[in-house]
Amino acid sequence: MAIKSAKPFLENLTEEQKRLGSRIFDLIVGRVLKRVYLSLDESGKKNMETIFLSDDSKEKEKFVKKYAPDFKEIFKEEAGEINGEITEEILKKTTT
Amino acid sequence: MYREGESREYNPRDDAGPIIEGEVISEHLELGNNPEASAEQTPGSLVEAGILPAEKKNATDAVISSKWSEKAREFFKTPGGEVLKGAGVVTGVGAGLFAIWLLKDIYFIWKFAKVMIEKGGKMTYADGKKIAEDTFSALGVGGDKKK
Repeated sequence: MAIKSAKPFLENLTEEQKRLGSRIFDLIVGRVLKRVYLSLDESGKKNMETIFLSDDSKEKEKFVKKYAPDFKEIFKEEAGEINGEITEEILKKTTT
Repeated sequence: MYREGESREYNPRDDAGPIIEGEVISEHLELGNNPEASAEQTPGSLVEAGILPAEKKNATDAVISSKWSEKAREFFKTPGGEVLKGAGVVTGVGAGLFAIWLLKDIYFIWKFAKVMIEKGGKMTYADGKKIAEDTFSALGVGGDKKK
């Protein structure tokens, strides 16, 4: 069955799958943010820390758009990396 | 990219990327059984076991485990805990795209764990490739096909 939209599929996930999916999302975004952070100079790093510690959503949006215009590409790459790490662990747990 | 006669092991990372149309897959590598593998394993328990080392890695990373990073990750979720919406809004590319990528991962990993259990820890290269193809098919999206 081909799923034309991700939304119905997301809603069809079991609670366990949603919970695990949320943890995977957290792992991916953590790695994405680190890559963005490490690409900045010291002043930029301080700025990023300050902005994301604040509650100013607009500033956060502006920051991502300005300093991480390739956010979606990085996300895609890191999703692939995390996918690989998890499946390798599954292999270890089930094979020699 | 694999070619006929080439000898290499199945690497799940290969399927994180694009599926290359017309690719010749000739390996049928059988992975050995792990006598310690529990008969009680479920896809959920295996996926969770697979996530834990990555979480530990992130937890020991000075940047990822910092307070600002923790708060930033929350920013990418909606207040109800629904993932992706925030990421879509922030990047302006739409939550749907992030949803597809994340679902691809969940679907692939879940199915990978399920097949590993069903096959008693033995998986051929063709099995792994089929899971990847099923994943793209189920989500109604193609890989980034290369000519």
